Amino acid sequence: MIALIYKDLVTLRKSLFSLIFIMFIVGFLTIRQGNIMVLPLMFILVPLILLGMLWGSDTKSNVDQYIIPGPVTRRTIVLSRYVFVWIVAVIGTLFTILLKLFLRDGILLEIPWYLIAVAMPLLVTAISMIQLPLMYKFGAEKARLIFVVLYFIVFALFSYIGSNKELIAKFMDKLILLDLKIIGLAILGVTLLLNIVSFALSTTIYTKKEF
Amino acid sequence: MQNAIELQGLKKRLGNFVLGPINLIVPRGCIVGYIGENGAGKSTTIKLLLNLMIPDQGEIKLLGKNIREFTPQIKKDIAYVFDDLYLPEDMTLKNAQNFHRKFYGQAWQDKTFSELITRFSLPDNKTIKHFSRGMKMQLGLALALSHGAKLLLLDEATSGLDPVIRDDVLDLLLEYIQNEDHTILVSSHILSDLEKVADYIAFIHKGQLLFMEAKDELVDQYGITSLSKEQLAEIDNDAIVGKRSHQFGVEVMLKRNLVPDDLELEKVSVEDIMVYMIKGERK
Amino acid sequence: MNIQIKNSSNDPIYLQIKNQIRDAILNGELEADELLPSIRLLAKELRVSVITTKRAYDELENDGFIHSVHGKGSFVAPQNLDLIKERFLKKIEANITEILRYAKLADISHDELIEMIKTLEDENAECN
Repeated sequence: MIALIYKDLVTLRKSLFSLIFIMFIVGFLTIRQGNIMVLPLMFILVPLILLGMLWGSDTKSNVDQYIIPGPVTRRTIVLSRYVFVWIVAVIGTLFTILLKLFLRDGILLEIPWYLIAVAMPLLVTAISMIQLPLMYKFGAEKARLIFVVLYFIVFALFSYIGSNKELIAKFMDKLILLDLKIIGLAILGVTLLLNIVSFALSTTIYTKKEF
Repeated sequence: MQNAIELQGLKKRLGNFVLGPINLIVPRGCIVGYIGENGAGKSTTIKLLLNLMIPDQGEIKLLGKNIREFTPQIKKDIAYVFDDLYLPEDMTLKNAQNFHRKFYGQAWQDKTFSELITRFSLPDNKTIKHFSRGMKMQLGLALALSHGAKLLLLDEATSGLDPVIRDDVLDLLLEYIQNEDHTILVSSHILSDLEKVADYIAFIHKGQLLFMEAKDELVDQYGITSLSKEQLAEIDNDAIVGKRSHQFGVEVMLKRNLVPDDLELEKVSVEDIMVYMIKGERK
Repeated sequence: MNIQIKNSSNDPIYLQIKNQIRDAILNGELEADELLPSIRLLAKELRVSVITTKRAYDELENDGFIHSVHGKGSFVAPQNLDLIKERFLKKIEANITEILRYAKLADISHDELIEMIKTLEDENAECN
């Protein structure tokens, strides 16, 4: 497992530096504009970018064919990919909480820290969790295509709900009545469920895969 | 003593191609040349052995254990080298070494690896992307031989290499096999130099294993000669393995035990056997 | 000990190995109880299959030239030189009978035969 993460870090070595560099610049610009929320939200993109790179490199060099006969189970190989996303999620969450601690104003201050602690992992992992099983099943190229289609479906769904103003109003009313802590727990539940189901799906697909 | 490889009724269908059923036993301590044309099923067999493909039917035992019961620990006893080095291109030799140290844990032998690297004089800091084919092959072999594996599988690993590097590889294999517990299976469509050291030859054709025999006995069974068409007519049809007819005569491979003793036959190579058998079948 | 394998030879490789080791034992180059190289080492150095070297050793053992101790290796067996001499004498006798028969047919004198032997010996000495 450590070996696999090491391999991923070596693969990303160069890109990781440029990514951090870009984030610094973007961070600096947004802080000057006072739009601090952009920074945490950037973490949503990070796992997607990195996963795409890893996948590209691994496929190009046929890495799966090299590591599967080695001293790991296929499950561990899948797990290493998930651990990678989780590491990014942990960094993103810690970063956002730190941001809240050091900032004097902005909407981050109004959100309690425990809500950040559960919302950030969901935001960072959600797209990857849907994408990973698709990538294992169909490969990176097709998965991307399917993802675009999915995106449009979700978008259509939202605009349908959006046109139904009463429905939203009702929903918001109920939501406001709920305790923030319960919402936090619900988010945590959704995150865990999404991650576990996604991992189980990917493992099942990968175990049957042939190279 | 246990066998290194035992295949029982191994079968795999891939589209129109069917491999097997293959029954094969490789005793410990020997070198087996697994030969056949491109597309005969060599790589498919090796992928099945390495759990990269899942068989439709049959059993695979490596080092006496069914591969379905393999744990990561047992998998350390098996080493493999493919036709290319399947590691991320951006890795350097040092990265690859670190990766394998973590990958194989206690089994990893840093000293053995360093010795091999010095011997091949491979560069430390170049990325694999900039390695030549021969260098990749040498690195792959060095990595494979540095975790104390008992079974070494080579899939077309030496094809397309220059003769000097092939010779180095040959030396390494011979050193490896000095330990009676070690076994090597080499798949290839060109054996030439490797055939000299192989103890057994397994010949696969269109997904079927035609034979697995001790190489010495195999080579002694056949002989090649040039005949006129009239002379050929006098020879027992069963004795003819394959022939190449041209305008001025026939070159023919014969079974020594079925032809008269006074017929002078030249020695054959394993490659001759492969070519004549495949061509013989086409007629 | 030198062992040379010739691809041009009509003898199979195991036989070439066997004959050269046998000769080395008979001419005293290898002494009794001397440890022979392992079949694996021999195969590695000569770049032949282990089965080939094993067959050569097996046949040498069957002919009584070497004996193997499990786990230790193969050793040159003590040779009963008188017995070997006897065996060779018989072979020489048989060959001389043959020579004499041909000599009689071709009307070649004994002196001429002895001269032939000397010439051949000189030639062989030069070759070696």
